[in-house]
Amino acid sequence: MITFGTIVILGILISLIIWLFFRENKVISWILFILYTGFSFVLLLRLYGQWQYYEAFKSIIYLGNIKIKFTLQNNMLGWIFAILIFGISFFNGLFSLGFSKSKYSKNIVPLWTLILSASILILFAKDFILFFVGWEYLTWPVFFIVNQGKKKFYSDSMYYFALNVLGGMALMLGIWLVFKNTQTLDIKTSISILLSHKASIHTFWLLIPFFIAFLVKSAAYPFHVWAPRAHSSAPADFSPFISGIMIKFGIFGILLFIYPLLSKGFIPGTYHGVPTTAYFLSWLGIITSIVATVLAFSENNMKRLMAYSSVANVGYILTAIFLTTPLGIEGGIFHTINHMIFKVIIFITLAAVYFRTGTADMSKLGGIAYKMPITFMTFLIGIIAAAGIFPMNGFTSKWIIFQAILEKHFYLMAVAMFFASTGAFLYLYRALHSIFLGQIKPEHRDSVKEVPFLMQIPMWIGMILIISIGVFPGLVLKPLIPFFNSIGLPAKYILTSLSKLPGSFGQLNTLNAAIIFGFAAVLVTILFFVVAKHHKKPFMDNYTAGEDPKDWGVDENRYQFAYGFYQPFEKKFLPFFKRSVDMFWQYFGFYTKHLGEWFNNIFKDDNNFGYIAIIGIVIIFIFGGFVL
Amino acid sequence: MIFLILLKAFLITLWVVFIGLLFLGIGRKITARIQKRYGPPFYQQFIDVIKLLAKESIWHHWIMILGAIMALGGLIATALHVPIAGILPYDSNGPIFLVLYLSAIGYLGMAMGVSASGNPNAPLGIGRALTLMLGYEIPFAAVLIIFMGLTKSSYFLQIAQSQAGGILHWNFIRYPLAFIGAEIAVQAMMAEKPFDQMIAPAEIASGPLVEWPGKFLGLGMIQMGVSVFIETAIITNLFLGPSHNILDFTLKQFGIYFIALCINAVMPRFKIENAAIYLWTIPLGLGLLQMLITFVL
Amino acid sequence: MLDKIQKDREKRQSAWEAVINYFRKRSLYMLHYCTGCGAIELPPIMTSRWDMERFGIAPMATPRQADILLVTGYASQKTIKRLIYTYEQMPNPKWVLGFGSCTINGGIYWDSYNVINKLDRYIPIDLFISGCMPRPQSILSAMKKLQEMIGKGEAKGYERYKQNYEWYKKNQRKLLERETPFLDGGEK
Repeated sequence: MITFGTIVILGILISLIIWLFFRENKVISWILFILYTGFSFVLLLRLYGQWQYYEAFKSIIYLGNIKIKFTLQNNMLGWIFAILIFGISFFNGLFSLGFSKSKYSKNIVPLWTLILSASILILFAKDFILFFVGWEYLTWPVFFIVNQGKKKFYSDSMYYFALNVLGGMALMLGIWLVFKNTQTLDIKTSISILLSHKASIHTFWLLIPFFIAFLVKSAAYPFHVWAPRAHSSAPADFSPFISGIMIKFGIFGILLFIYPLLSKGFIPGTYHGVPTTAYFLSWLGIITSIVATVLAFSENNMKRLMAYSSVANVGYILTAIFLTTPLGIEGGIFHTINHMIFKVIIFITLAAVYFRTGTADMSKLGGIAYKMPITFMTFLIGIIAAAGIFPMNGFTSKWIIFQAILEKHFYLMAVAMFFASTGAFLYLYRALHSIFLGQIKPEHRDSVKEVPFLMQIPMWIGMILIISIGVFPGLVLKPLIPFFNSIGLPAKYILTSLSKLPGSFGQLNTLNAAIIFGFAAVLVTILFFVVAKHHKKPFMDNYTAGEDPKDWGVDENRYQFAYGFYQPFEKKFLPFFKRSVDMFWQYFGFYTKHLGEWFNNIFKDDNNFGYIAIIGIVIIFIFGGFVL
Repeated sequence: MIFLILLKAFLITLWVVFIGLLFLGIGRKITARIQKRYGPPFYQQFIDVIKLLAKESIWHHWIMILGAIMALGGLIATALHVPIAGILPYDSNGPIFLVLYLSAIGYLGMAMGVSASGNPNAPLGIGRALTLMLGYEIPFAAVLIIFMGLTKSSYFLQIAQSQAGGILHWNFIRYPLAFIGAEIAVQAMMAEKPFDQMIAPAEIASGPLVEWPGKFLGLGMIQMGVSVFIETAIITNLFLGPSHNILDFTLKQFGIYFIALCINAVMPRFKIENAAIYLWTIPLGLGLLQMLITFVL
Repeated sequence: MLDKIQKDREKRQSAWEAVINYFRKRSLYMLHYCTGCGAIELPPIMTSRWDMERFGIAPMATPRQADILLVTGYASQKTIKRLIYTYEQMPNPKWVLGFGSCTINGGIYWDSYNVINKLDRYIPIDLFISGCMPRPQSILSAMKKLQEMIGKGEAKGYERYKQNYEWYKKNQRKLLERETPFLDGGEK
């Protein structure tokens, strides 16, 4: 059975069918989407273990003398990404089916199915052409979804579009350079040919376009500016996909192409056993997470806040991967998977809040937990995971990342990572308080209620996954053992049981720790309910320094602390962080626009100088190409 | 097997709570003596906790209860992973990252519980506490990483045992800069002056605890005792050598707490942002300098 | 038979209460409601000179944590409202100390147009401290007396408030909802 081909063709077909016939009917669209993702998930599941499996498609396209063959090769890394993408999209589809009742819902199914079929091309492409096709084919539909066809989102979505098109162009340039150097477009072959060349500093320039392409996609510093903007303007039920899945394609690209080259000494120079380039990129990951963490402190829009959180987590992943050690790769991939799960869950809860209240401004929310307890619990578990606190999955991968950094003795890097990791508590608590706790607004008191069961399903699944991976990290790491073996992970770092976290500086038995935690919690619970009685009081019966709130016209709205949460901190540190990169990209956009206008003016001129000049340049380039 | 672990855990929990509350009580007495007062009896803290647990409580939402349970449960679980003179409920060896990230669930639980009380003073206090946390975690992490690097392990037990062989091998003599940095960080961790902005009774009505009556406050007090225990135990393991028995260990712990108390009794209070900046300059600078001396020079 | 069981239960409960009362009397958190000039007498009690912490008495910032409400000095038309609000926010068991003559009968302000003369009519006061001002020694001895009363289970102001809630509320309403000005005379 042709699995990949089926999924890709089916995706395009379903997209067409929905676009042609069911554009107005959101329910049917989403049901088709769920069926498609579920079906693809099952198809992909059967491919586990068949790493030699491939599908080749004939084509009539020639590039020079080479006939392009389109081949989709099954591989472990792509498979694990694909299975997660389709699994997550399946549950996201269930959520969106419920969400489609709201007036904030958009029919994004045709575009989304296109994206999913594109992801197959990226993950299983054997050659660069297919990889690039998938890459572009992923970028464009997302732009239309993020934009929502609305003018007010134009400038926000432009950040996404401009940077990702830049990334796409860089990727094309990179592929051309690789082709020029190796005369092949096959990814694996080109890597081995490149490695057989003599390493020199010029090879560094070969990789620059790939760095740009993949770092843009994964929203790393200094390209992180698109992420918060795209998240905040995207439909609420699409944000999980951007954060959970789309930015991970950058990580995938790095693992696919850059890691094999760097780890084998493609670029000369090492620092403590790590390629110097990779070492600096590792610090870039740390800078990404610190900058994103600090920027998240002052964010009032909940989706933007969580988008910054995603950027920070991408920072951890990049740090781990660019250590170019097997343990670092293990930590990076594990954190990628964990981040997929918990960030999707967090964004789904935010979408549920948006579904009931229609606002993403945290200062307009508050006390939602009292009306939506399941959503609250899911969000709580999600942010505990995001903060990397123990019984959740975020901790397990962060543990391995720390161990990987310590293994290389990069102590300063570990301290810097601690900063970002602790900073996560600050913004996550802010979100927890401002959205879910505190005083509930009068306008939400009656209108807000828990989301229907259909939309709760992904939350329940997510909670179970987060906790069970946190207690049994082997659930994820054990199936990945073949991959870790292929990158040469030493045997001492491979899991021996479901619940034993490996590490260079010591191991951790998560199950025992969880038992101790459960024991302590039970002990305290018993203590709490054995001792004296407790009485419930209404929320406005609260400490007000002896004043009756009614006398002063103080209602729930005014008795909620929402603005200027970390004001003393912001006052001191934020100006520095806010200026640098945003200003750069604003000026970049400004001058690019001017350049465009200048070109435009050439063609608008009455004399035909512009045409002649351009044609001349093109001719020179063409002939130059022959000469070279 | 599992019952043995749980029994051990239960006994250690009792010990931790007992010592924590005892320390708080003695601390009140010492503070009083420094201020030329007679002071409450050393067992005052036990009386307070029992009274509070027997007092009627009010609550606004079940999240408050969940938060209170998470707060104390998380911290007790943390304390059970810190070796007390080498004693642990199971052979975890005191994993440092687990201790750091498990204690966070205690603080998160506390933050969540007080937020659910609906009083704006509570998140205000928590916001201050978290800003302070960002301040002290970094120098503290720097110090921890020095010792992790030295012993090539991320276990407290190994660090404690690496100092065997007389007082001259103890880390506070061999790495004095790291010791001073960690002491300052722990001062902030215990929220003793000059780092007590989060409580500030006269300013934000005792901050996070503003709506915590009766048994919530009782649990909060136990939690405070446990956190004092954990913090002093961490410093003892890091700097004060391997301990032969529990008494030895507890006396060392008390020494650490005594220093914190003496500083607390005579200090005014920092502004919030100044506290963070101070922690990022002096203690972090000391920690990084020690790191430089240890690993580079 | 049933009577006997009832009696046994009461006995057991009172034994339990006696134990708890010991802890209650040794640990008192105090919320001082400083309405008038009397507050100046509190710092000497709290600080080194008289040190009330040695009896387990400590100041607290919010009514939720307090056991004693200390009303220092007169309560006026405006402050009585806050006083009642604060008192009702305190969880049981709770006690009120009336401090100075003003709380007993208005003191030197007895004929003022807006001073509440008999505070006991509005919130249940367990113990009065007479004097204008009461010296720190007398405040301390009052605290010791209150502890004694708590230990014996005699200080039951909060139960009195619960039992006679209607009466207290009626008095409070009369005060807080009156429309004729005080200057016209009439009972305060």
